Amino acid sequence: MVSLTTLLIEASVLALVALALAAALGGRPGFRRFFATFEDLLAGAFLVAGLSVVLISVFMRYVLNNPPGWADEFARIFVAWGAMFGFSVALREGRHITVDLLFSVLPPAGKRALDLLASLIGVFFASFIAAAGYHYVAFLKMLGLKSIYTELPEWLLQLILPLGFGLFAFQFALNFWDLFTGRVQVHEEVSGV
Amino acid sequence: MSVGLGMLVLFGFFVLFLLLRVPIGVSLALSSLIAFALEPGFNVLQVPSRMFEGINSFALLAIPGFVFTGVVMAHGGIARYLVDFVRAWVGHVPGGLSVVVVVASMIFAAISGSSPATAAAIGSVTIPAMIQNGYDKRYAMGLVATSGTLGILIPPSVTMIIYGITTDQSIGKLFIAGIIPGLLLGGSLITFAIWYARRKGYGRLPRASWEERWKTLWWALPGIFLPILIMGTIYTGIATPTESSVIALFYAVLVSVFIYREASWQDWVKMLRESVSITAMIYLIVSAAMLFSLYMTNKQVPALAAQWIVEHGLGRMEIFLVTSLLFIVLGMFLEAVSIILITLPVLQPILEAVGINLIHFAVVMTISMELAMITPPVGLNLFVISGITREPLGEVVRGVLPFYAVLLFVLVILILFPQLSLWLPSLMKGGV
Repeated sequence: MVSLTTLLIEASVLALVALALAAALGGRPGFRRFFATFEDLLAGAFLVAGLSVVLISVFMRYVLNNPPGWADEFARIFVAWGAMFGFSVALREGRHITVDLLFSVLPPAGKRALDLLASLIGVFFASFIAAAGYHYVAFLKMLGLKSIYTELPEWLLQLILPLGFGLFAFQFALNFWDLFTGRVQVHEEVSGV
Repeated sequence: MSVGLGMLVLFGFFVLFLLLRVPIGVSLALSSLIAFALEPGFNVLQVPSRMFEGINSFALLAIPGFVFTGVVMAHGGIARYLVDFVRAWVGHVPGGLSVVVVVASMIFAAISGSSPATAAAIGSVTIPAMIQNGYDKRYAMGLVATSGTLGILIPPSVTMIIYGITTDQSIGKLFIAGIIPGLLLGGSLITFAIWYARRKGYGRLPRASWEERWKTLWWALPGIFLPILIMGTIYTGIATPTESSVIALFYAVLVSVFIYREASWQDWVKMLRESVSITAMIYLIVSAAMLFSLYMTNKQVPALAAQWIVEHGLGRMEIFLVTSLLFIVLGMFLEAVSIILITLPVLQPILEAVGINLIHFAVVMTISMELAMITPPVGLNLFVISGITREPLGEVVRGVLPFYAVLLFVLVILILFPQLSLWLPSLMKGGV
């Protein structure tokens, strides 16, 4: 079992890597466009695939009288992958709900400081879960567990943990540099809209 | 750590991160992580494991299904033709625009599940239109802020899906339970709005010709059929809510592509991106809340709370009063999904101990959270309306107050008469 201290160190390294990468690549519009399209495609494809599987299984159950056993699991896994790749998409689109109570009463400089701090917290948090997720997946691989219906290895199904949270950390880092360099101004937004 | 200290750490850090404007999902997970880290013998691999387990659920798939359907309705033409239809039929009645606002909000919010988003979308179009037609600005703002909250009760609501998964209740029954309270709420709001508008002599739209009315009805028919399709398949047991959501999505896409034909290729890309974002936002909260409730359960908070309630002999009405107040307070800061995930693991044993039906409670809880959205001074919808109209908050609050009273009245009625919520689901297989 991996200790908390090891994980914290790994998470810090990962967070610094994310911040360094974002600093190097964040200012290139070409890269940003490519990265955004890449994420959108990935998350969108998994979501559509997952929902399509449900539709196909309904069709097979009623029309062909032959409900497939694998459908349930594929649908769950596909949508979970879509949603977790989507964490960073939602962050880029400003969709994650925040509480603006303190933010709304601060002067512009305070708002900027608050958002910079929140982005940094996000980078470290997502890096931590990505690192813990990596160890968890490695642990599953060592156990050699297989899923019940599809007989796919469990570690493969849950590989999204390090991948999704890794991308999430990178997007937090991009947001941080955007604010820091003034590429994006802090603007008051209504949560949830 | 003792239970008290543990809870202080958990909630203290949660509030701290929220104030720092860290996303709710991240705040939930981080505060739980910190609380867990202070416990001896904590296995950190539990964290990713629980987070994945939390969103690896078939019932939860109804959320992307309905969210996507809602997005397609909003951008693919269905919502617009429905609003045109309502306007043509009731727009000429004094205060008729209020009916358009309420109905449009119910449609828009039911599936998007977000009160502030509804208030912003509907308000930016209808408030100027109402003022142009001689409505008082306060009235317009109050009505839009209030109507925006209706969606979290109207099925198929994301709130009910999360409630069903958290408490292990049938999501289908929860949907059906929301029908009569939803109609009662919408009906009371419309009746009051028209009565008020008549008294003040607010304007009316020009009367639409019968030809125009039939035309709008004809074009709205595919949209009118959508809720019937959803509730019908669930009520008859043909499909689970998850399956029903995907059938509805498929239908909405077909109607938009082959009948209305107004969305371009780029529009579809935008719709997909919006659906992914909303789904991801909810999924992050759900998976993070797994850690939060796991910590509370490990500390035996639910059992201790239930024991305390039983020892002090609190009855059903006291529980309703206390919980409604709790949701109104929490709802001013958090949205419905987070509140359910945080509070229900603790409340469920209490409700069971005093004999409150969990389906009845779902309705009461949802309406309390609707009230929270427009409760001064920090209800979210008040800020949204103040933001889009550029009016001071005080003006919005004055406009909201009469409608607030209507909502509160309906809440009391629904608490006192459980049958209003339980009658329809009791007819379904298995009863309530």
